[in-house]
This record gives sequence, structure tokens and C-alpha cells, in this order.
Amino acid sequence: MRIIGPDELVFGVDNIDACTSFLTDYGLTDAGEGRFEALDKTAITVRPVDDPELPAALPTASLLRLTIWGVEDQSALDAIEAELSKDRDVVRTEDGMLRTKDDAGFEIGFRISRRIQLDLPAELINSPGAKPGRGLNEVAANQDAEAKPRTLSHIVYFVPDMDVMANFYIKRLGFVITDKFTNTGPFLRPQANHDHHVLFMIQTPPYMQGIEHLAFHMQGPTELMLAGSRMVKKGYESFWGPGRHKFGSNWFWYFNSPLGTHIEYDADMDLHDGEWVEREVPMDKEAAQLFLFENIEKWAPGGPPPGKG
Amino acid sequence: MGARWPASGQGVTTPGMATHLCALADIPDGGSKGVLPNQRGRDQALLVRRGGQVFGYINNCPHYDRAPLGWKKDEFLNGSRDRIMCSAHGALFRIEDGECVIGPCLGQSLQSLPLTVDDGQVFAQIEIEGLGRA
Repeated sequence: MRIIGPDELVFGVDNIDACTSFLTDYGLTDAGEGRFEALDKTAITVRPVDDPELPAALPTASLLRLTIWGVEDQSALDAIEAELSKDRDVVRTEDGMLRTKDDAGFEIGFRISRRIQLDLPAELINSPGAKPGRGLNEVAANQDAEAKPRTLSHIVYFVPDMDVMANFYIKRLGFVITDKFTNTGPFLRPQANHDHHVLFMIQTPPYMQGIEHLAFHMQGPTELMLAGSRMVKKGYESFWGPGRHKFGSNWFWYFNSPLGTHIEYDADMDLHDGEWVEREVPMDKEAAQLFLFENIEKWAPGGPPPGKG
Repeated sequence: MGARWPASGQGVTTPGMATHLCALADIPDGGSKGVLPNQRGRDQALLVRRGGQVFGYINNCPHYDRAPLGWKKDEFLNGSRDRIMCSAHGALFRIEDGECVIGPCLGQSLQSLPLTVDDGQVFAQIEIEGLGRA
């Protein structure tokens, strides 16, 4: 199953204006009709909560209405349709998307990915002993640098039965476990993507089912810091970060959002292939991050103490 | 857990005394406002105003011990402004009594902040320690 990753996440909200402010300040581009795009056109879409075209809402607080997975081509789509049609209704919509539900009851869709191929530089660093990443006189620190999310990275769900959920994506759709937190859930990677995870889940009681967070990839740690700092400066509520995770190695910075989910910036995630052997550790604060900073107001060192100059 | 509240910023804590939070007019009618910033500038309590009535709660979702509720400075309500919303996972709380009606902390309640409104000014009785993050 040649699934690439999440292509678009659709929410039903009662605060479109708040979501619009948040998502544009986060760095996504307003493409109209509630669609907010990353540089590669993967997107978050916010629609009015009572939009009759939206799939039914979960009976929980979650505002996520549809997760659309991007696949490589028509043959991938046909393979998914054949597999999932064995035991559930799969609808093919007018615009060529397959629509159904997963085994946890989340509304899901599959379509040939709308993402465009990016050709952009990585964050360039200079490191003693290594060939310089930047040319001579090329300055890295730019207060005004653009910091736009490049692509939708991953989605994390609260699920009532993580084994049922994980098995659906593993056995029916060919996802692979990269690492696992015991009693919490596995990190999953689909076959057409090397990212450490595009899908993760946390086991919860049924009344919590929904989206836990979503994340977009940034250029690198500097761009992540720049984007996150700008959010803080505008008054947005930092929830966790900046820091660097252990599993996946990605830098992270999570924010509260008016979409009723955490929205994360991430950067520099590990890539894996079939040679990788999964790790498993209990979930705790040591396992969850390599290190964690907390943003404080800017400051500068000076000379003598006040009044002694 | 964090420092004594308030660690800095508005108000001075005196046992048994009221602490001035803000003027009633500083809270938009029907809207919300964060108050009592700690050293890091995080508002440790939130106020919601309905006419002359003000409801106050500690700014932490019962879901976690370090979960501020708002999504932006002073933004603590859902779109229809009839519930306090936790913008971490969408939990909704009744404005009147702080009880979670849907969400991860279903049936639990926000910690209420006893308030008085006197001559257009909002005061809290604060003898609460260890609020949220320092």
C-alpha cells in the first residue's frame, strides 16, 4: 500500500475567525474555502461545525472530522479500495477520493496526494571538522527570515483500543512500527514515506477519542525556534517545548489552538527503512524528550550591575 | 509545582485580604481575560464576564497538571462564547460552575477562584499555593 502520509485534516469548528488567525500566524497559507496550506500544499481545512458536507462528528470534544491520506498513484488507491471493501463500505467520491472509517471509528479518506515536490535547502550549519554548510560571509541569523511549515508531518490520536487501531493500519494498510511506548502506542510509518512516524496513538477511555495533536515539518531547528518565538510574541499559548524528542529525534514545539488540539512545529525527524528494528520503552518524561527548553522573554548581557557604571 | 501565587505582577498577597485583579471594564462583556501573570508572563487565572457578574478559575485544565486553557492571551472561550474551552483537546466547561461537560476531564471541574466585584473593580481572595508552572 503506497501511502505517503496525511494530505489534509478537516475540522468542523464554531470559531472560523479564530482558527483563521491562528493558522495564518502559524505560517500556513490561506488558500480560500477554509483551506490552509503548507508549502507542499498539504493542508488543514476548517469548516463550520454544522456544514452538512462534513462527515459526522465523534460524540466527544474532538473537532476533527476527516483525515485524508495521500497515496502515490491510482494503483495504490485501487489496492486500498480492494482491501478495505472486504469488510466495510468504501465510497468513491466525485473527486476521486475513497471514503470510509477505520476500525476505531475515525472518518478517513484516501486520494492521490495533492502535495507538490519541494526543492528547498536544508538548514545549513558550520561544524568544526566538517565541510562548512554555508559559504564564507553567509550569515545564518536572520530575524526576518521566513518560517513556513513545509509539509504536514504527522497526526496523533486518542483511541479507546490502541491494538485494534494499530492493527488496522498495520495489517490492512501496510504501516510499519518504528518504535513503541509500552501501554501507550506505536509510532507508525507508511510504506511510501521514510519519516519515523506519520501516525501515533495514545490509549484513552472512549470519551476522549479524537485528535491529540498534529504537526508540520519545518526546515530545521532554527526555523522551528523562529516560528515558535513569533507565536509566543503574538500571545499564543505554548504548551510544550521547544525541545527534542527521543523517538524520531524530531525537534518539537507544541501550541494550544482554537481547533481544540495541540498543533506542533517539528524539524529534523529520523528516516527509516525496512532494516530498522523497533525499540520499545515505557512512556515517561525521560523517554519523551532528549531535552526541553522553555521560552522566556529576550534578554541581553550587559556590563556592571545597574547603578555601578 | 510553581512558586507562590502571584509570583510577580499584579497584586500583593496579604492573608485574608483581597487582591486587585483588574477593572470590570477591562474584561469584555461576554468575553474573557487572563490575570495574575507569573514570572514568565503566564496568566495563572482567567475571568469571564457576563454584565456585572464575573466568574474566575485557575488557568489549568484538570486533564494535566501543566495545561493552560487558552489558545491566545485572554482567549478562553469557545466560538459561541457559552463555554470555557481548553484549547489543548477541546474540553468544554460550564462558565457558571467550571464543570467539564465534554472532553478528557469529563465530570471534573476547573478550580474556582473566589471573587468580589466592588465599585467596578474585581478582587480575588488568594491564599492558594502552587499554581501551574512557574
